[in-house]
Amino acid sequence: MGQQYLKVNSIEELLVNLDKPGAMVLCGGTDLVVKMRSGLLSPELLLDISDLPELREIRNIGSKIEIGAAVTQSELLASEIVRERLPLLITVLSQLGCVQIRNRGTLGGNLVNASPAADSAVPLLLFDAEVILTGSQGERRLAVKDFFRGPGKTALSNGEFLRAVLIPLPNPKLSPFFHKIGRRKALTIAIASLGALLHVEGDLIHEVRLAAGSVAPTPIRLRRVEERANGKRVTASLIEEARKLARQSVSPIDDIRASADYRRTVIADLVAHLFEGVLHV
Amino acid sequence: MIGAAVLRPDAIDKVRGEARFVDDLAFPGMLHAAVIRGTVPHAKICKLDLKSVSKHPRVICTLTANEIPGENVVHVIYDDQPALADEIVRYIGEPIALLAAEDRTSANQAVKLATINYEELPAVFDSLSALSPDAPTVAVPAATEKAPNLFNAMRIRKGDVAQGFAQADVIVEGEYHTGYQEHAYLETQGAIAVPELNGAMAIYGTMQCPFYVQAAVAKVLGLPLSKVRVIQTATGGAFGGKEDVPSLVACLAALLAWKARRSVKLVFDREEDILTTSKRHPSIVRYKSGAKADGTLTAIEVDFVYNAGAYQTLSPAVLWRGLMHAAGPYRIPHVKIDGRSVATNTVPCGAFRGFGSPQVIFAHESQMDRLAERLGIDRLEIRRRNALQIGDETATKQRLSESVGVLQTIEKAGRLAHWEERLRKVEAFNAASRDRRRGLGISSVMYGVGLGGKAPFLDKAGAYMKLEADGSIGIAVGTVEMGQGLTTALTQIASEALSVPFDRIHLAPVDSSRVPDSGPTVASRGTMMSGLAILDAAAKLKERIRTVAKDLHIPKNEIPSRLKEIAQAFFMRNLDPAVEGWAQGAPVDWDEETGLGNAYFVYAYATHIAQVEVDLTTGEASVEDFVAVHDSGRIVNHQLASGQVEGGIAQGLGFALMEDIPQEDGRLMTTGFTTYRIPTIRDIAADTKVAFVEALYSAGPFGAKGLGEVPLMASHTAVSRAVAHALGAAVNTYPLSPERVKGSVA
Amino acid sequence: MRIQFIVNGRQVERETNAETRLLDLLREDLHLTGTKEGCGEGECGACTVLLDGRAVNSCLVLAPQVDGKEVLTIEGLAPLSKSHSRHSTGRAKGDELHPIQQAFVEKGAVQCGFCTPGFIMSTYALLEENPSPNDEEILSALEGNLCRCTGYTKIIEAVRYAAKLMREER
Repeated sequence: MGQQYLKVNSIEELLVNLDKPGAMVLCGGTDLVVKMRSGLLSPELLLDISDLPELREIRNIGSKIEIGAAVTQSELLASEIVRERLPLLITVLSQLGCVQIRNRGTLGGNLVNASPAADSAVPLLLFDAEVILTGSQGERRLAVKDFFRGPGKTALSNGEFLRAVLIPLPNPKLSPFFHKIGRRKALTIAIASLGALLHVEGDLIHEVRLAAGSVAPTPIRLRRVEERANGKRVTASLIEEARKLARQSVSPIDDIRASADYRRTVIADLVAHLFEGVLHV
Repeated sequence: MIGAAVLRPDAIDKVRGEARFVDDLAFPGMLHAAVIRGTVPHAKICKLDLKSVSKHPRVICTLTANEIPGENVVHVIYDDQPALADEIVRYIGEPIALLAAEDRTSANQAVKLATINYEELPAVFDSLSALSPDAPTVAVPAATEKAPNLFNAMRIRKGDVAQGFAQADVIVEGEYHTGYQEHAYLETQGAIAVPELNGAMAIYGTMQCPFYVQAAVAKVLGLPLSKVRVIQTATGGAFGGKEDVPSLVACLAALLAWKARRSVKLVFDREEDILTTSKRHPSIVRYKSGAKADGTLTAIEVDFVYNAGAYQTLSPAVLWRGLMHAAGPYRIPHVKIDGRSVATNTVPCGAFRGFGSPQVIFAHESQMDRLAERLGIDRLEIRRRNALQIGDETATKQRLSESVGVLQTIEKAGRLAHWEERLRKVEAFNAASRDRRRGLGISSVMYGVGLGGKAPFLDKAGAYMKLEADGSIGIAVGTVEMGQGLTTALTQIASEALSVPFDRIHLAPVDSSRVPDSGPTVASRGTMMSGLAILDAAAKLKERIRTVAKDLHIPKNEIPSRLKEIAQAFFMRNLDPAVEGWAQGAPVDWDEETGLGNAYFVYAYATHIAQVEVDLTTGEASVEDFVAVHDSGRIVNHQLASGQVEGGIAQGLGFALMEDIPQEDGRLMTTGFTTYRIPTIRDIAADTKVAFVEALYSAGPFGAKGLGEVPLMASHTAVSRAVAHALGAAVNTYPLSPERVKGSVA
Repeated sequence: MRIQFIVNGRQVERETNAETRLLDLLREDLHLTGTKEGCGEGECGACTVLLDGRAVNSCLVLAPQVDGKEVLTIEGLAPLSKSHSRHSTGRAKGDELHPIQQAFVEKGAVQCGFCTPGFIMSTYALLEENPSPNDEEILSALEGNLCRCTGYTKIIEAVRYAAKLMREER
């Protein structure tokens, strides 16, 4: 009610206004506008960063890619370097929402929203990506895993905004895997999702990284499974241990989409399935 | 013209964005309504304070139950539902009071300013608990002392089931559960009430049944029927959801328009629509079937319960159709069926494509597969052996004398799907696959066209037809276009009957003042009943045209090409160029005590075959391939008909696999399309074949029967049985979510 | 606040505020009611319009966000056609259709018609970018548009056919 709108023209203008009471950053609006309509959020000052040039760049800095907070998901999908070096991100984003959502939605927005089901968090966790948070005090970098603090909660302090995501380019030998379970095949919110980067030779696992969505208060890495599997050969007993460890690593809830029990089981089975796939190539 | 490919005229307006749906219309000075609703499932209203609402600067008026000028009911069947709750609220979301404001945003804001104090009453939410004698009484008035919430109990008794089961070599029993299904028409409910001269009221709205709306509004306003005029606006899907609910929506808008003396628009948003309007009844069906070693059915015993919600609305009719369809398209000598609908403190359920039949079809088709499995008979073959044929008796002892195409649908579906070859391929795939399984499902159904023996007085229809001075034809009917293509099909029928080109005929949207009460646009009856009325009118008009032609020395074979000349003669000689057509359904009868009789004048049939693939790791099921074969008599327009079938398949797929509304203490947990999931373009089968066998019905227009509902009825069970086949496990509860499927794997 | 933008090739200026969605601005202020509200949360695609050439849900865009931008709605589509429809018999002149609209009519892809403008705008965005989409690309472009009537089969056929008509037009 009586809320103000300001299209910010510079980071300075954004920072000055971010300190004002009830100020909130607006970018694609794919979550924010819905939450405003339903009364879940009632910002007094909307700061639209969607056309801020500094936030709309994809930059290749040495061994890393920096993605500005206002880059849309569609722009990422069309980006040559992302397609070449981050195929997992392409796989995930092409299943996120639908064209109309991806044309507005941004990577930054998906992260700030901090949904336990945030699809894009899974690959970012696997890449060991960082977020760059900017405030009037300056800038700080934080691992994506430390950025999430719980459902809807992030490490952003007052007066701070997410400026960019920094992704270290992964070893090209790591092949991507992503499975999102939904009620239907498109435009769906994950009941559970599993992402992986996997480098195997024969049945030897050189490196595996695993992350899961919708099975804990935040998207998570399955470190215990990774530690158990890295450098090992896939055997029946390894698969069973991985299944068990995956099960223990998650802490899902019951909601209208599925039960906690299903989520635990399906993540464990997907992890086992991934390793079984190594044996059945 | 019949069976020809013509383009639907309304599609041109729709692709240009120019078709006017109710929310696209505005009238001078129009106000926007909002509904103040109950927030508890069962309570006495102690205090209703609207002072703050009235103080809102843009609110023009409010309205409560005690101000209603006529009767406080939404007239449907038993008149047990009030337009506005006065003393007791019986479900979450029940309308309690109304407001009209100068704009929609203010109307929605002002709703939140109402204060309602309740004294909560014990509530009951599921049908079995509600049937207990000590359950809180929801039904008004209480049904019986022993079962206060038993809205309706109906039965069929044919032969002697004890004898039938004694003759059986194998008996299978099962219990089947289905939940809510929401219509999810893309256009939500809405109406505009416009006060007219002489104290009359006009209603513009999205609806299936203009004459239901007319009757309901007249009753709530205390107006004569002649002073209520109902105009149907472009209707963005209905599927049964706009059968009875628009009567309530129109009543609420009309009450405010009456009080404010101004036009009032009431359009629900998606959340309000999902939470407060009718759905498919949740069901529990217990089914026992017996068959001989060769697969011949000997007896069935069925007992089913539907959760009707807080008011009866259409539940008696829904239950009756469920009863009539519980045996399936099969010859069964001994039949015992009991159906009950039960009051609970939940949103009233109502009509939804199939109208009480999909729930029992899930059961009867699952039972057929289980009999086949036990007897080692192929699933298609057991259906073939039991399929009704001309001369056979239905479960209600109706002797079928014509137009019975079910056997042809089974055989043709089998051929199109390459049933046996495909079964082998599926087995080979499954033998080779570690983590995925394929399955085939088949489902055959019969459908009683029209309203049947429980409400024969509704099976009528009128048509008004006039010859314009240029030889073009204007027609008005009383059944509606809601997307199914009725306008096009009826124009084709008129074109054929009159030998007038398709694009010289115009069918106006329904205006209740132009035609007599033509019954509802439900029960797959539109093409048939209004088609017959048009044929009647056309015959009368042609007779007059012939007389004039004779007078003008125009030979019969030249009448079509010289119609303009003839029309001019009508005009110049002051001849009456307008006729009225009338149709009534063939006689039906039904005995309440035995449940026997000629339930419907004719039946449509279908057989669907689906192939699915299931991911055993996650439980996700996906429909790969679909074959649908229908007997709806003569197909007037193949493109429209196949469109109906494809749409019904998708809705059935949704019902079987994904659509669900969890309920917690009377509160529905899906509030929008983010949580209520319907199929997207990616969820349909990559290949869908639709075909027709046309077993003509002599009393239908050019041999046509009905089609609209049948595709959904057949499709969901083809899908669920395919999942059961893939898993090699029982599948007894909808929807087959990944979780439920995975649970069946283990 | 005052905003200026181009809608269907016409420059417009309107007073609006941060609570108004592009959808409301189009329907209520500009009387472009061909854009429909089906869900209000970006789940159905009935309100799809093109914003600077890209398909967006107009229920998720705030009116001030279109300041200085260009919007195309269903009402603006037919005039963009280079050729004209062949099948508007029995109607007054002025009912020309864009090839996509033509294809939806001819292939029976329209039933109730409420979702149709959204589907057509999504199709337009697809075919402008990719004149010869394969089936996978068609599904990707339309997975954000819900239809409850047709079961989608005829919509897919219409998009394939529209691509052909548009290629012929070029």
